[in-house]
Amino acid sequence: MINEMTLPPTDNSSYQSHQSNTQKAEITFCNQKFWLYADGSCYHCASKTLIIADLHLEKAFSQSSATPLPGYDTQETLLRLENALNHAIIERCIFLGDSFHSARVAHTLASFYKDKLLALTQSKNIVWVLGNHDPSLPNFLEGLQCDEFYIDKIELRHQLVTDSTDSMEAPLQGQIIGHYHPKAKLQLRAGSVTSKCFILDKTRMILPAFGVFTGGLNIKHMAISNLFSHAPELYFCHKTKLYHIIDVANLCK
Amino acid sequence: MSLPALFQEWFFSKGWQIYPHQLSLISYSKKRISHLLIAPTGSGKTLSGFLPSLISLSNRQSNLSADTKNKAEQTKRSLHTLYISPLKALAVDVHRNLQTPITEMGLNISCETRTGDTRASKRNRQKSAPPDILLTTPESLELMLAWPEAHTYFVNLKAIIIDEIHTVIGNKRGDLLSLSLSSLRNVAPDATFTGLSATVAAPEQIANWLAPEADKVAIVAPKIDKKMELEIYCPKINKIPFAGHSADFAVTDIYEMISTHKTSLIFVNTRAQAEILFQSLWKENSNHLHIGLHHGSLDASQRRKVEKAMSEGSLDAVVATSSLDLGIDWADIDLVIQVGAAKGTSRLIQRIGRAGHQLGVPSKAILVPTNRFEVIEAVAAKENIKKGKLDSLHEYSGSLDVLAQFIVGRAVSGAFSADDLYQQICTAPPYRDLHRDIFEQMLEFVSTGGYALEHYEQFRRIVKGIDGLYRLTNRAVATRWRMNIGTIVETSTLKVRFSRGPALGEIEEYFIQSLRPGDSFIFAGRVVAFVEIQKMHVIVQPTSAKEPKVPAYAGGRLPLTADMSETVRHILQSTEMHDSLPNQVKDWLAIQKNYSKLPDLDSLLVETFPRGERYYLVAYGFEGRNAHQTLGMLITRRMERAGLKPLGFVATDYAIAIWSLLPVSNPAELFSPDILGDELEEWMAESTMLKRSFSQVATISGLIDKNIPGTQKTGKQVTINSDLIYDVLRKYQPDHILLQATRQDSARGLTDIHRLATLLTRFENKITHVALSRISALAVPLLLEVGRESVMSSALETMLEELEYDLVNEIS
Repeated sequence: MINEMTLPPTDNSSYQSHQSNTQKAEITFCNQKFWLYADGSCYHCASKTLIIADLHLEKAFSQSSATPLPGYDTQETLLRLENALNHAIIERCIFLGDSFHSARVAHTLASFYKDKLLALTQSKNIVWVLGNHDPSLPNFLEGLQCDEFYIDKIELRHQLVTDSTDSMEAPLQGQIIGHYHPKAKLQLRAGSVTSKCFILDKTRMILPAFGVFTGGLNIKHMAISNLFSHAPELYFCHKTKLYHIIDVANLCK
Repeated sequence: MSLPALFQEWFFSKGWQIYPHQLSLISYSKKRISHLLIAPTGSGKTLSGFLPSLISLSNRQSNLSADTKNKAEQTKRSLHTLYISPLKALAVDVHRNLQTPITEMGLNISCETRTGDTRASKRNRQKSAPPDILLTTPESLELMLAWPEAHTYFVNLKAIIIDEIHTVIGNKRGDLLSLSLSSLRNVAPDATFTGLSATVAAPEQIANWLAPEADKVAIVAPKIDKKMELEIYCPKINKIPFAGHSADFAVTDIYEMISTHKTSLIFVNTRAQAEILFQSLWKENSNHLHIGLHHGSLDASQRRKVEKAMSEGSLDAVVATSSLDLGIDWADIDLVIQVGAAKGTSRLIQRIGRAGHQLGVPSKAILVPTNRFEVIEAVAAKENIKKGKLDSLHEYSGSLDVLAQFIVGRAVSGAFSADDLYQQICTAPPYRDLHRDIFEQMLEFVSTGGYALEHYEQFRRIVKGIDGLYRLTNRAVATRWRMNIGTIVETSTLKVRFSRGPALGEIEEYFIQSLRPGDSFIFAGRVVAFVEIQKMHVIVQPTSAKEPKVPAYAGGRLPLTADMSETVRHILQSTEMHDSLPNQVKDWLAIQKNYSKLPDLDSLLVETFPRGERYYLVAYGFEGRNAHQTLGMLITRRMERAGLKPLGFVATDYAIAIWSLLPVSNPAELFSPDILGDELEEWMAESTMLKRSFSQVATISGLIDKNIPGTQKTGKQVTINSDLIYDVLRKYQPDHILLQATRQDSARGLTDIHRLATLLTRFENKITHVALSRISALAVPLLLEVGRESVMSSALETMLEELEYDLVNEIS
């Protein structure tokens, strides 16, 4: 039984929600034009679709039996989602899996958050791609629930299918996935900076985790590096800016 | 008052006389009065601590029936004496030393050590069949007190000895120990406390820490005149460097020193310096002397080897860091060399005392300053020692994050009442002024995280029952707690070893990340080449490469103490003292006096001069690097507001230098104490210093667990950055108890606000501004430091932009 929550008043002023503040990077992936944003969201221009991965809503709440993390992450993530939905004209929004930290918290989401989430996502075609953390989602969420989705021969799914017969090669024209929460550590003269990033090559792109407490896995780790046969590039998200890194081997540790 | 016959005979057989202070301790023990012994090394301090227990236990023995081999009798043993030492190695050494009187007098006393290195089987045995005397560390004690059976285990404890007690005062480790001691007082009401300390300025401060009622602690401070022969090295041919900490210019002479003595102990300030000096000495080693290396990153087995060789007298010299500061005297050292500034009088005395360990033999030491300012510091140290002016410990209240860890530990051992626990915590001296509502907030944090979110109530880690007592809700909390206790939050390190063989030691992860396979570096006294990283181990192989890198280690850079800095100011001002300085330094100061001014005690000297395309401001504060670093951050903010376009700054223990695009005409405005108001608040709010403090606080309080069951093997941990949590918490609950703890820490630690405040208040409206047309003599060392120190963090943003610009250009 969850009580009705009285949340502290939110103060939007410290997080500027203007498009001009969040720099975007225009890329061409699989012959399609995309805009990447520093908050980790990805916009497919032709279909006016925003793609966001790994929200992990209610992560703090679901872990609180072990570690008492501050439960404001859901509120903060929803605030960022609200800002992301203002990036451009959006007619469809695809959540690329692990939108909730567990199926259970999705089903028992407090009404305050429920209302907010529904308000944000109404009038947008929503697609909920299921992830390993949220293999099932409640019906109160509007929109389509599926395991994979396609935009013009590009496959969108949460993580790779580990088929024993297939190699790790991307099918079709290309693939956009989440799941790995990629982060990179840039070695600069003045020191090093670690932040989340987009990582991609010609056929595969991994989106960073959008959620607030999501942490990350270094792109140099085998689990990520093995997924790219051609030398990948990064779009490094630092505060409100994106930095395009090509020489990953030398600049990242 | 005299010793029992058995002991008298033993002392006689050793050719020793019992000291009056040793008799005092025995007397106080008998009367069950807690006591503090303040004595330098070589005064039989450790034996003094144990004599009362040994005597008491030997009496018990003679009171037993003749048939002491009776097993039933033996199993009735319970813990009589608990000895706590801050170092594992010390506990091990003391154990070895204690066996001597026990064996030689044929006493039936069992004595064991228990540290993080003790095997599980032995620990289990100690739990079920306790020895008479247990030697342990604060961390192991914390774990023992969390046993549900702690009550019965410690109930018959008669004596608690805390060694090197001066090292645990005023830091988190000490705070936690103090709380553990408050628990011990509860479960062992009959026990008497004994503190063993090195010479300090104010023993009352330590007595204050030892027991809740300080007036009930007897202070035994024998007037032992340990003569010191202290010489300050001056090179005959080479020049004393202006800046840096390299001893290269003195290596040949240092080698000469160790060649002409039996066993020398060479102290340096950092691990990197130890490795470098060790290599340099070996290059000079034409006499084939046995030289050893000892520092905290070396593997324990390596350190044991060196210690053993020292006690056997087979080493001619050892290069060491503070890792050899504490300890009993097992080696016949006849010379102590302190390379670089010791940064504190008490620390220096402690080190010098390692030489000539028998009383009556003067301790011989040579100070080797590695730059010109250090020469003045060395002279200051010599002055202070002559006058008996020691460093004082400042007043300090207990850390809050430690309190959280302690409360969970209390819950692990059993149910507790909030009122009783609060009362108990207040008997721990660092927490004597703890407000009840802070305690309640901590309790709430431990329970649910202390957030203003109701739906967290269902996940409590401790819960209050109908009987009003708090209990753990599940065993997982206890497991997590046991895996993450302690207050030493280490930077991430990796073990280093050859492909076959034991570990050589540990090295900081960020250094390894800068290496390519084949790169060579010096470590554990050798030159090795990096091969690869295998499962969290760094594999290396021996190499004879010519220019190996030197690993840098985080930490280990202590600032100049306040007492020392006062004396340094005094020496600089008193020109008559300058004649006794080495000529190079004397001339340097004379140039300063002629061209600019010498810093004095009554005002803050600020110089300004142009150089290259920049304008420099140099302020000689002498308040230590940490306070100066903070000052630099604040002043550059103010300068930015004033449109002076500051570009960067460098801070040393003695001064701070700031460079900007426009000159400063009125320094007095910059140095007014009101800078500690708004600018400080703002800076603290934004700065990474606070985030670093929060990261520590989060780990120690249990918000973030470093060790999680099941994840150590893979190393593939998707960790939550404490920075993310900090940002969210600051935004939604800025008065959260952990943020309060962070601010408290920050003010105390890296930022050294207290010293900064003292500096600014003292010299308010007392600025001596000297406007020069070029750099002054005293400013030269600072500008030489510029290349070494790292750039301000805001420069990181600029670098990122430059990077992008370069890349864009590359592509197009």
